[in-house]
Amino acid sequence: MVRLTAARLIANVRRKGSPEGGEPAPQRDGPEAVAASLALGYPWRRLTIGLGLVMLVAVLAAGVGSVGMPPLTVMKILVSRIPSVDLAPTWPESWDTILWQLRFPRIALAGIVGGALALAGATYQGLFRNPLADPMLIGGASGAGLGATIVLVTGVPYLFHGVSLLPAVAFVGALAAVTVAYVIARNSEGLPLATLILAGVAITSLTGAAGAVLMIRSDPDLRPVLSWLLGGFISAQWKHSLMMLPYLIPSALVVASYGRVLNVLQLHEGHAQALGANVERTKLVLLGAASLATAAAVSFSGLIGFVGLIAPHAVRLVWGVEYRALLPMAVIVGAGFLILADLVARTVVSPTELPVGVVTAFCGAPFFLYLLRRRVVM
Amino acid sequence: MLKVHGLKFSYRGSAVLDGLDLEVGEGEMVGLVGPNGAGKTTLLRLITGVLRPSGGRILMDGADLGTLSPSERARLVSVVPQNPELPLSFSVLDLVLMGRNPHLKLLQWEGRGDMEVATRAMEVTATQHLAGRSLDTLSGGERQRAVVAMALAQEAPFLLLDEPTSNLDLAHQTRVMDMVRDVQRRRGGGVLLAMHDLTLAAQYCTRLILLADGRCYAEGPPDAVLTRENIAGVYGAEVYVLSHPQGGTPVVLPVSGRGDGV
Repeated sequence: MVRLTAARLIANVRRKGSPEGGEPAPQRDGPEAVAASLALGYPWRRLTIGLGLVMLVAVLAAGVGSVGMPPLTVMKILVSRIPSVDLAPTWPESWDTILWQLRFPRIALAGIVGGALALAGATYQGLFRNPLADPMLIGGASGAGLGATIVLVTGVPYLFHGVSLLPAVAFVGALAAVTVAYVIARNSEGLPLATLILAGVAITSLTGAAGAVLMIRSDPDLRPVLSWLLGGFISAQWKHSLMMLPYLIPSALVVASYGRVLNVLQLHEGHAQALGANVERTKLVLLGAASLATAAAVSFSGLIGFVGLIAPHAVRLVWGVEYRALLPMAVIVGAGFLILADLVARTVVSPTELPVGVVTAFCGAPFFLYLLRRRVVM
Repeated sequence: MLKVHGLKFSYRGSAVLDGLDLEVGEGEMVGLVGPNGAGKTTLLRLITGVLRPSGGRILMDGADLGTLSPSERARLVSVVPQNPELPLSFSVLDLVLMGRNPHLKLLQWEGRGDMEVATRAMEVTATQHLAGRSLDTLSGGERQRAVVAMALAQEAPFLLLDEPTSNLDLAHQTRVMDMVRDVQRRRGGGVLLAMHDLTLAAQYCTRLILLADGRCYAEGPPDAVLTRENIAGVYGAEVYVLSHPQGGTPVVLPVSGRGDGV
């Protein structure tokens, strides 16, 4: 019934346009003149299709590599593991191993990390009312990186009752870095983009330097740290995806429950407060949640930039800013994007691999420059 | 009924509001006028809780606003800020529904009742035909009306407007003011407008409060407040005060320099 009312309102506008002749409104014709409204219903269809496409991309990506496999076979190998399904294997046994021990865990981790970075990016952007905020650009990822480096080089016990401590320490680093960038950049007018990004750059340099000192002073065997720092999913295992979940799920639940408040926050802070939003508490909670997602991603994939920028942006450009619709879609797009980026990273210079951060930087940095040029919002 | 008692606020050591007292009753449309820096916007920010007073109290229907949570406060007082920053890709309907925020819990979605309130708010502000349009396709006047619709959707008994006509051309100024007066008459409750334009304020408000240096300098019906003496005392400007051909409210005209040096 609600939807009907809204649908009728909006349909009227579509049909009649503006009946008020006097207003010199800059008219835009076509569907973009009519904003999508959640009042028309939650975009389940779009999300389902998106999720389906990501699955499809995952299956296709799993078939590509030194041993190529047709997508249908990949699908069969996937389905054959479902307990009640009985499929006679028509494929070499080694394919099963390759997929289940190498490619599937890798794709799963890339998807989860991509989703986490997109979630963090979208949240930072909504929180700072700045569409260019990204976990990497504002120092959060490098703060998490320093935290993780500390764990890796000092030999702090990695696992605690089966839960990895790495993201917890990385979380402290991410939170500290973002808070410093925020406090430095904030003035009475708001949060100017240039200062925020410059603060992020300075923090990234500082934490990078601190990380370098730590590594040079530590045990000579730096290979695990170095390969982790470069970023990527080369040594991805199922357990990494599992270890991310205790951090990622709470973060996602918190952010999701603040979707409507994030919309209200897109007004000026004072205005949001006048609409009953508890602005200060919201900021603290969301800063924490986004930094937790960042930390979880960085802990298991190293530093991968621009996913948190590209995915929410693409969603915003196509479907608008309604955060309750934007957040899940950004997660889906982020997952798909990072799965594709990782596919490129491991195939384009085969038999060696590019760090996946190189691929995302090749896509993301020009996109960032384009957005800067368009001055989306300053 | 809004009551302000001995309200004080200082910014960097200097007093912006210095023991302000005022009242706005049910069914009143009151204009808050005064020169720049007299404390108009500060007063509105104190009422919405963006700023905290250094002394005094603000009471809304007897409840001290300082003790209420942001959403309790937003159910009592709604605000139309000056030059609101709007997320331009939102539709008018999305914006108006945001006015329901103080009535909704964290995970709660807008329901049928909220949609009805929003629809009514759009009717009153004549923005219904714009419901599905995104804000970046609207003119300044349409946007201002949409923001008023959002404030009305809050269903707070008290409405504050900060310079609602400051960026509008002549025709839209009167349209927005007509609409505010119409809303006030249909809905009851109290309205407090911070205004720059003395003539426009006099034309629409039942009572004016003239602020100077963080205190109430004069208050009463427009023709009692907007006298040559009061305006010279507060603004330091010499003016003519005429009578509006329609309704006889005071019209304030500045006297230009007479070439004898100032």
